[in-house]
Amino acid sequence: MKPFHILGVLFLCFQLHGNAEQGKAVFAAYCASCHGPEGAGLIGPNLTDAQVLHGSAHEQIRNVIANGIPSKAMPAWSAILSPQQIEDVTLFVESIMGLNLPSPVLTGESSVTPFPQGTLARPLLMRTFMPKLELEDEVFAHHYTSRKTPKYKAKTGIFNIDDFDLPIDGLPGAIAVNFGEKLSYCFDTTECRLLYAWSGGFMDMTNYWGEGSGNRRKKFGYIGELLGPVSYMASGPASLSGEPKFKGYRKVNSIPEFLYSIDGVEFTLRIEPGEAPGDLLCHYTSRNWKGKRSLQFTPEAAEQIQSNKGSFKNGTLTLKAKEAASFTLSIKANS
Amino acid sequence: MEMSKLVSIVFAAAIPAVIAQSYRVETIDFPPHVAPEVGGLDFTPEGEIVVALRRHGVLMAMPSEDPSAFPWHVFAEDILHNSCGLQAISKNEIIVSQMAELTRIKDEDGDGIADLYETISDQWGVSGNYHETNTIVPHPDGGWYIAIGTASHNGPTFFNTKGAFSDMGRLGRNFAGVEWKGWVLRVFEDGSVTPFAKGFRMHNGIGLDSKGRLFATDNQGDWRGTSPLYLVEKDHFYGHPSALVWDEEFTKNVSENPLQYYMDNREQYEKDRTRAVVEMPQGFMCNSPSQPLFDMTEGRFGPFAGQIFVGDIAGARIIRCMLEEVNGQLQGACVKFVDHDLRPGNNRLVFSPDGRSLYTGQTVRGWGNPSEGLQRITFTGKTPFEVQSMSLQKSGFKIRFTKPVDKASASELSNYAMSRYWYLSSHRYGSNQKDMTEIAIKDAEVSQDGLTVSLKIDGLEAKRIFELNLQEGLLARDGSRISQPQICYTANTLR
Repeated sequence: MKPFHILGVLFLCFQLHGNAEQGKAVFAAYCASCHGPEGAGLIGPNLTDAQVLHGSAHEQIRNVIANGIPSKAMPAWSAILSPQQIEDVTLFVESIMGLNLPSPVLTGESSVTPFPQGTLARPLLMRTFMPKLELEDEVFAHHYTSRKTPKYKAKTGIFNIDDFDLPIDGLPGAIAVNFGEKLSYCFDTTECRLLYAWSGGFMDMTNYWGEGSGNRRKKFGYIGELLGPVSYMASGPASLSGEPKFKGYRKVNSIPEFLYSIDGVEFTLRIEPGEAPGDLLCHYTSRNWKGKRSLQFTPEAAEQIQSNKGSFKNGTLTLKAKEAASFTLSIKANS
Repeated sequence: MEMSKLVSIVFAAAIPAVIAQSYRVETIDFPPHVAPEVGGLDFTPEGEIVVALRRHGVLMAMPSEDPSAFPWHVFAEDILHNSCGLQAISKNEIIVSQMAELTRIKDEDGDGIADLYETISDQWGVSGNYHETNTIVPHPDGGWYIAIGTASHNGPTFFNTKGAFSDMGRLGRNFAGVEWKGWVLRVFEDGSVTPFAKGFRMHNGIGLDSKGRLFATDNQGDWRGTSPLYLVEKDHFYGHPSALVWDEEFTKNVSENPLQYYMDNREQYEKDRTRAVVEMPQGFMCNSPSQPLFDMTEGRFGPFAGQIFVGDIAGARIIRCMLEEVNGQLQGACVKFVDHDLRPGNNRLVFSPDGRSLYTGQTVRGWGNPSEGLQRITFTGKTPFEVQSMSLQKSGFKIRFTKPVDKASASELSNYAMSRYWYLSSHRYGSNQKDMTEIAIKDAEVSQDGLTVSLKIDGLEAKRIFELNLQEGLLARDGSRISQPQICYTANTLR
């Protein structure tokens, strides 16, 4: 360290001792999680070098703390800290500059986790292989099935007829959406149908993504796991028969609205959380709904579902074209 | 020896010249909450780089000089399913290939974040196996080519599949249990598809040359003695039989079990398959090739215009391929371009709009040490000393260098070593080097301008790889030493 720096640090410490001490507490509370307890860097850069990244002058440091560096995930602290606190922590940073503490060795570490999460205002949509749960075969009318096949040894080129490769349970083309703790659901793009919903958390993707930024899938277990109790599960054949065709989705105020057709009827479906955790509100619109059509539900589904339009009797919801143009099914979480 | 020459030789020995002097490698930073496992990479016409990530949707940034200060912003928030193909149409619209579909992603309300995810096509199956990755390249006449990778025996299929399941297709090491695995399809703008070519294993990389011809790499493994680069032509069969279970002509007229059929009919197999234009030897040259990117920078990225850069996922390197026409057929050579100075995981490549930089998007998933992120290789303007091209002659090879060679050292036969071998394509995983033979160099004639050396050899033979190893004594006129001295020519046919 150059003598000049020592003098400078001493001078600052002497003159503003009280404030830099205050700044140390602010640093410990707000900054240490990224810059390390000593300021020697963690996810954020090492601040004990003689020079810091975005300018080492008092004004420059204070400016970075107040306004942040968004591209590097440094927050703008003026939204959280008072001007006095920012001044204090600026002085503290200056007091540790030049200490030249070694950065801790971090290989491949970041703040990435295998627990993706959305919020009520900004739900998160994820396309991945999803668990099948205990869904009945009738739900998969438009899927095909795979079978066990003889194991094959590439070395010898021999098929072992006594040993088989077995399929596992999973959904190949599903979409999962999370609204935070209140609601998550799984929509299938092959059946064009809500398959199940749950609350409490979203998914543990460790099987597929590895831990943190670890990036290692667990062999044969690459389907994520639901976090929280299942509140609804589809049952029986689809309520409207015919070939489903998935066309994509649109985000309306950040909430996905699925676009698909079944048997010539064009649908949109927007799913939102209901009142209680795990409750769902399914807003449908339809076009080319000719005449009066009936939607058939299984007794267990009918117990959970109500419609704001049409007549719903003995598990059959009958809607005229005008009613079907826009209707909402509310689904109560099962206990 | 002049002092300056000596100094530069010592220097060249210490630091790989190509990197130290001619190309600069920089690591691009991402925000710490992002795991940058790069599946897709492109530039918008406005000049923003677009990165499709495994867990974080799609990010964009206008590149800055400072590699640590890219102003990343989120374009697509959704977590897409293995988004491994990307075309950026504008800052408001991109095309992404996912596991189950090809998707058009648009920002319609102009807030910078996508709100429409339109399914363009989903006309292929999904078995539930983790390995069935897709990638795209825009078709010169509109629409796309899509490469549909096969599944791996290292993972299962699901009971419930998207699309029809074939028991015969499920057989084998890498397999095609559902439709169009191991094919290249043409996807039209309206989402309809037609099959284009078949018999691929894991063609995790397709690219077009300046004439609009399609090329694909594939990965060493079963029916891949070593990793190939193919010229992909309509209806050709590229040697991995599993895909043929989805070829009605084949299953009707030849065999319902293409895997067994070609295991039993080796001669027919060699007749039916289209060979690689370049075979990249496994291990020392390339382990797991990804996207082939043609250098259309017209020299702004250095002296390799028109050649092909190929990323290696399992190696910390990028390979350079060069092609020539012999008897109306394309074939050529490969050499390492950057080795060791990069991270591994080089999955997607793209040139910056100014042509000076090659960006490489990295990911290693599931096997190998995790490696991910984005690096940038920039041409400094200083010409490296490398093999520019290797061309087959009647009596040997003509080697062209990027700089004039020192005539005395380049005329010295002991500065060249050559071997000849081939790789077997069979149901077994990979192949050793067959019939390894040392090839004697009979003559090395240096051209007047010092840029080419004609090597006369004994032992030219078709369907063989000729590996040339330039020795340390070979110098450029300016005293520099070649940084990548190993070059392998795939001679499918002779002049």
